Amino acid sequence: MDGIGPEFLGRLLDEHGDALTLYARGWCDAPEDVVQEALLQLMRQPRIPQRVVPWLYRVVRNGAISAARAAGRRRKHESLAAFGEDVWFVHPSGDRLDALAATRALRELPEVQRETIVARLWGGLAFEDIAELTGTSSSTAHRRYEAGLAALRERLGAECPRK
Amino acid sequence: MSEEMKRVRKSEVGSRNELEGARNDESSAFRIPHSEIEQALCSLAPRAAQLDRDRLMFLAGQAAVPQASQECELAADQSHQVDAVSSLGARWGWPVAFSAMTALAASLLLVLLNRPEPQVIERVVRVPVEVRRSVAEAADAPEQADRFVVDAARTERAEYQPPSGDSYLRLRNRALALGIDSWMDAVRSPGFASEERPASYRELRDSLLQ
Repeated sequence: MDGIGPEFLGRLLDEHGDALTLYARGWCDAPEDVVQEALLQLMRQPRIPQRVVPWLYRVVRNGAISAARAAGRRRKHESLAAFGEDVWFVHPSGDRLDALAATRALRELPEVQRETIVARLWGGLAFEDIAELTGTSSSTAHRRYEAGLAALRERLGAECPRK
Repeated sequence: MSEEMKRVRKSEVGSRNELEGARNDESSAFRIPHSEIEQALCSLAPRAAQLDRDRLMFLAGQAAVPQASQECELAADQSHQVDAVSSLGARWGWPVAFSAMTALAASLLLVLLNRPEPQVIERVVRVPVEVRRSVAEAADAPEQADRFVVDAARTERAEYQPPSGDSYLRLRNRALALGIDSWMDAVRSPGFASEERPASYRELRDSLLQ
């Protein structure tokens, strides 16, 4: 059987669900719905994709962009604050980078840089995968990643702990 | 299922190796300034997705069912395809034959209704009349020959007239007087028909009154 089993789905959800949700947060208000729909779309596939995780990121990206477009008009009439001051991260110890500050800094990044950093740091994708995901070259993806990190370092410099 | 898990593990291991390899391979010029911020960001865990696991599994099962049912339907369609082809002739044979025969009958009816009427061709047929005079006499007097032909035609016409009422009365009287045998002799006599002439109404009345 080439289909997806429940164990495989549970494992994907445990190991990549949060990162996928974080990735979808960059575009839409309801990232959980997008991730759930991506997982269901994976279940509908007659065969497992060759590379499941990049495939999931691609589906989540497309779904999140579509959801953002669908909610675009509604969002115009809402305040930006209502769009979300929710925190994207949690830190158990709380002694390192402030989760809220990181969320704000990440949200202020350009979309392409934010997408690249999330896919790279929390999604664990290679630059080739990110390049394929965003429709650019690997060098462009790498350049965006470095630029995004530089911007985050500049914005989070005070919060960033010194070793 | 074990193959799936192997593939997942392989994918995950590959992803981790790619990440670590990319980090190691990157030049120190890029790595050193951002290592701290990378580590700091990596220490942050994404907020847990508020996904209802049970509902997701239920929906995933629903999503997987149509796929299996489609495969079953496909197999069933393939198995029934032969039967469908064989029954196709029986199902469409009679209707096709009926339609063809109906069309043929309708076309023949149209041809029959639109058939042109037969043409009436009038021809003058000249029938030669038997000439009783000799050819030599006719050659001597051509004017008289034509007249003789007309007279002969009139004579023939008179000979074919039916027996008149007078002859009937004569036959009856003769049969009553002499018997039925005398009637047969009278009919067989050669001058019986030729001697008769048409009986007028007056003659018939007088014969009846006698």
